[in-house]
Amino acid sequence: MAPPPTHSHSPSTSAPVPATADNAAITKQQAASQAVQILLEISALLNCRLDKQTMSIAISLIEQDVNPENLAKWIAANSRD
Amino acid sequence: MAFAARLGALTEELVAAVVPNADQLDEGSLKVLRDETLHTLRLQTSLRTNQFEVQRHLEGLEERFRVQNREGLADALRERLDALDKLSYKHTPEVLHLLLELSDQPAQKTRLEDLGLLRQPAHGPQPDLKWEDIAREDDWASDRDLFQKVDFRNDSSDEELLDDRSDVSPRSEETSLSSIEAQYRRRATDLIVDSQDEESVLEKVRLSHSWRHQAAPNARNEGSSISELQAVREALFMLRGLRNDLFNSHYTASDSLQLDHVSPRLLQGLFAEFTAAGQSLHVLRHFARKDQRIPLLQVFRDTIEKRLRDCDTYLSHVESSLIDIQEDTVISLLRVLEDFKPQLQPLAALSRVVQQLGGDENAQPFRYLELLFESAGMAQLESNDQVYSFLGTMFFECFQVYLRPIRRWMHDGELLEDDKTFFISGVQSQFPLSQVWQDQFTLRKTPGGLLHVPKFLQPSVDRIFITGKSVVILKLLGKHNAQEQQMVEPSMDFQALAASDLGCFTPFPELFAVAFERWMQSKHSSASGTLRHVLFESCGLWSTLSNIQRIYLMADGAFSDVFAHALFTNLDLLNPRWHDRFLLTQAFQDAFGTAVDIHHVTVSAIEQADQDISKARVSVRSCLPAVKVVYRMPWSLRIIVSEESMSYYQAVFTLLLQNRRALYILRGQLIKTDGIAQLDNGQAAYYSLRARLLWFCSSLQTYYFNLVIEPLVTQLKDNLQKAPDIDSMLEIHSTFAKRLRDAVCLGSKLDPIRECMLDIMDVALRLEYTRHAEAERKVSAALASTSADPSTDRGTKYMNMSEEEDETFLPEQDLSVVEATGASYDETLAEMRVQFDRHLRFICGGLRGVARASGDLAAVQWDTLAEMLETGLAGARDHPW
Repeated sequence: MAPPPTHSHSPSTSAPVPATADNAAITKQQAASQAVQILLEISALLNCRLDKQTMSIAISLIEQDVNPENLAKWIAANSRD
Repeated sequence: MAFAARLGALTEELVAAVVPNADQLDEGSLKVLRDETLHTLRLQTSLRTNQFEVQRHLEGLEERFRVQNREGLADALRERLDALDKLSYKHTPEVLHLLLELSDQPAQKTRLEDLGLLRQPAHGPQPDLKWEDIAREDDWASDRDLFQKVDFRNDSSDEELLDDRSDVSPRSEETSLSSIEAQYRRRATDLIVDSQDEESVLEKVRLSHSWRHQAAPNARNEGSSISELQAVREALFMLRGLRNDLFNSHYTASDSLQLDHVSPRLLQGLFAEFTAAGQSLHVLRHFARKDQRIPLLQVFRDTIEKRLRDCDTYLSHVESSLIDIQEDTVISLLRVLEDFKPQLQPLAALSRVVQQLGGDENAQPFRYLELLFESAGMAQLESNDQVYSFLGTMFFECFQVYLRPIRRWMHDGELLEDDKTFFISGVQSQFPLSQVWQDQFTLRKTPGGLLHVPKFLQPSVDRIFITGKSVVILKLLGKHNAQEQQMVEPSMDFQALAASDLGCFTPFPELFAVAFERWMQSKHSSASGTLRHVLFESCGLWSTLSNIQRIYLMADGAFSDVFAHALFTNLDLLNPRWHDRFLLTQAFQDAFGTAVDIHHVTVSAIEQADQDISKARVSVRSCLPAVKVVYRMPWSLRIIVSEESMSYYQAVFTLLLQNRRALYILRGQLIKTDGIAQLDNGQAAYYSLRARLLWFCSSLQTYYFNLVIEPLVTQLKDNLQKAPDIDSMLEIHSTFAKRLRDAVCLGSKLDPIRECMLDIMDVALRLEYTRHAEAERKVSAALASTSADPSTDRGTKYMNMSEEEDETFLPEQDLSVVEATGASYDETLAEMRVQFDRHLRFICGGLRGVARASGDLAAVQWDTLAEMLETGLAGARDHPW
């Protein structure tokens, strides 16, 4: 099995090479993942009792322009103890 | 459409994730729920998220965490919010809004540890594990046998296994992190000890301890030897109260065991000393194990435990020095015993104290204090400084606990509830304030009548008692200031006392007495002195005593005469309301208005059905004793002036009033005559008797006021001034009242003499009314024989004090009381004279006799009174008329 390709980061002397689309997507994905993680931690700090799955779903719903207050009321009314 | 589908899918996921048991719902219910949820989520009834409001809310939450002392939580929240800001996620405010709506009391319920659990899966993506990495770590390259064929036969013979083991390649070097740890981890094989000859060593040990099985007291014929080291070890075990095989449960050593180099007799003697030591220590250990409920005994047990601990520490030190030998050491039983003796001696003395205590089943809890006290004194006398210091220190340590209720009593006037060890007890029932001092608290006594207090404290019991009662009274008066009364307490520590100016040569009882006296001074003088000061200054003791002397002892004759004359006038006028309380009180207030506080005085007379007022005109025994003066004083002064003393005062008042009555009647007649030559026999007899009666009553008055009341009052004031405490003041006043009563002949021993005195006073009253009767008779006779103006034949030689005011006084008198005898006037006078002489002789003789026979302090005064009255007898002899 061939070893995985290594990424070398050589210092550049001219203008920086723009990141590829894949790299930007990965960066964006990492940022989103970090954001989710941080929000999950904040929810733990605020004792919201949301697991990761529910948090992800809720964030997705909010990204779909669902009103957070309505969503919170529904979750509070229907959540398991 | 895609949006709706996406929303629908998310709604389904939300329902599955949030609703409990959603997977158990049927399709229809699930669809309904999904649709409702979708409908709810699509509604825009709520306002859009205000990001500034959300930010403000989060900042407020962070501040609340800090206020409620959840700094960690606040820091964690701040850190994540800052991290979130850096990421610039578009929907951050909405999500935070959602979280704020769902938050549930985070300040109270959130645990930071739960955050750590969340972090574990949140690590960055691990690098992929590759076979190359594993091969490199395990060093497959150097392991030649790795790819050899493995024999999986089911052969489980040990030899093959052994052979296999011998063929197996040496352990490969483990280079992983876990294998590096395993390299240094201890295994069970590391603990195996290789012994060359296990059986012989074990046998040697068994043999060396074989004597343990032979250590029976009866096995005399089979003596077995032990080494001295073993004997020392067993002895040390025994001394520490541990089980051993050399000494039995009675601490007696086995006779069968011997030391090779010591004769049995010597060894037994040595063991006997160890036995005595062990038995002494056993007594202490046994006592230390007992459960004690009384604090006084608990502290004793605690001090014994402490000393035993020190002893055990010393024995452990000896043992360790014999085990871990650092230098050349000779193992010697004798040496161990000799070195232990300084430790043992004080403990043996203590053991004797405990044995004495155990022998007395009915001993009081403080009995051991007495025993420690005596033993310490004895040790000092025997010049045994170590034992003396040991027991003295223990005594003072334990005494501190006994001192606690004393301190509380003397400082706060309070007793501990259900404390049966303290020698002062409180009576459950409530008493009037004036009786609190006398009756509220008592000294506890044993059934045998002895004080329930250690012997060494008996001299101080009264002062302790008085101090506490003083504090109680001060509290009732509202004058107790605990801060002011708190003086620095002198030390009651033995070492400090021995090093003080008292020195170590002071006998222990005296050392304690001085130390305790100093300690008491810090408590006693302040409370008692304060109460004395309060009684004298705030409560007005001096002015009250002055008022009592003015009222009851008639110290100021002018005021007393005004009141007495008003009373006598009512009696002479046969006023049926003479005993009216308001009239009497009014008369008193009119007389004493400027001298005493009249609002505290009421005067009354006991109304008796058979009280014939007419008899009061001829006898001092009628009506006058019924007059009672009640002087109301503050309850605090009733502590000093007791009820008994007030009864004496009242008796003296009555006697003085009776004497005043006689004088009033005798002096009521002014002589109006031209000379002796005009007197007939009756008049001469009258004047003679009157003069003697006047002399007698005046002599009595002189005696009462000048020789009894005044000196005693002066002495009372001096003694009260010097009295150190309230009990002394009470005693002084009580003694004063008793001496006053005895000196004025009111004591029971002088009843006959007093009755004679009253008889003489009655003679005085009868004399005057007899004279009035004779004068009336003469007037009536003159009226009957002539028709002359009765006023010219009235006894013009006699003029009453009240004649100018009321000329009808004489004729209106009821003389039936004095007219019953039937004798003539001269005969009546002669009979009165005889009575007077007889009574006088009896009084003089009685006073002399009682003065000689009695050792009373008043005997001197009785003698003086007798001498004064005997001049009347001498005068009668010289002038028989």
